[in-house]
Amino acid sequence: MESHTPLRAARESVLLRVDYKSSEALGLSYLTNLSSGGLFLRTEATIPVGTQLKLVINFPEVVPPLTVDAEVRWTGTELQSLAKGVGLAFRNVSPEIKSRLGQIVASLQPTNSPLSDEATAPNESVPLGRGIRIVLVAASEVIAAVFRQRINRIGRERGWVVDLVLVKSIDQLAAPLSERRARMFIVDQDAVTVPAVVKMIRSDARHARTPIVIVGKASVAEERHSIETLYLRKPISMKPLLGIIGLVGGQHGGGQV
Amino acid sequence: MTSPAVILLVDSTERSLKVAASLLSQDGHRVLTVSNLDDAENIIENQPLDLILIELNLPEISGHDYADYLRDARHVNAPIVLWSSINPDRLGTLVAECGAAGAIRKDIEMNNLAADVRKFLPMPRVNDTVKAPQ
Repeated sequence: MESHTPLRAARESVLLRVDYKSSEALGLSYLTNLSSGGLFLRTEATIPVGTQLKLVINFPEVVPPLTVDAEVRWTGTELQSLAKGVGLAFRNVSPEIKSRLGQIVASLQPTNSPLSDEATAPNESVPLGRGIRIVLVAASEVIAAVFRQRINRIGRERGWVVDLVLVKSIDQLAAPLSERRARMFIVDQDAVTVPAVVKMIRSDARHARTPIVIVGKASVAEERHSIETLYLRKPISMKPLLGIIGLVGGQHGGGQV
Repeated sequence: MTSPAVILLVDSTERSLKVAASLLSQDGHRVLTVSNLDDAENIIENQPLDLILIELNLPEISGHDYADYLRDARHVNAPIVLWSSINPDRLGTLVAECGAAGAIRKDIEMNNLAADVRKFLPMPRVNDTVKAPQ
């Protein structure tokens, strides 16, 4: 999505024109909140929660443009891109519009073929969905086991094959970094020195923009290294993590992030 | 004569473990306490248990995620009960999500802890030394 300029302010609603370069953006945004039927709208504008909107969604593949009522449910940052914006919930969606949105979303689902990470160029945007490597940097076998159980369960439900690699120290990180491209890193702040790990990951061109989720007990805002680095406070809750993994995997990850 | 129920308490707070263990021991149970997941795993692996009581707010990982793992991946048969002071509605949601047997509200005095725990325990087991009537 590229622009979203308010065109008209009605008594109780705001009309937004949303132009997409392709339906991909809508699909990804829509998928991030599929369960409640909405999308994330990137915007620098301040739009208060509760604002009623009328979206005119215009993108090349769909004629005529879709018009959908929506309401601002939250404001903040999209985890996938860390872009600022608002979370919108669709309102009063007619069966026809719902059907059209569903068709667009369905057309964007990942393919069934196994993902060839080795063929992936650095920073290339590739639809995921089958076969994702996640590297967990943590000291605890139990935490790794809990991760594996939950990720495998959601993988079974969605047809993913998740390759979760446990790394207990920075010395062990080199091997999985060199083997194949990881889709996501989860780093336990208590297990390793975070800046060193981040530096090591980012030094690999294939992982220059790979999401890194750092979990820790303390506030780690001052350790922000790049826009692709996310922070979660302990105790680790699987729900938001699975949500992030779902975004990385190209599908909704089962839980409000 | 019945065997005491074997209860595992998982909580990172020493005071909570001490008070709860004392109360449950007075109620006739054998209580094992652990403050980290590695120790919990060790006991679960090696010790038959009648009940596992897990504090929701563990330091490393949420108690309900750990409960889910025990039930789903470890196939633990003993009832797993969440223990927390959070909003009951929220606690109920977490219980449903992780497949726990239920939840016990955690308060400072723990006055009702023994009675609450009894609700989740299986029927008393007949001790091997007592023979059934012929």
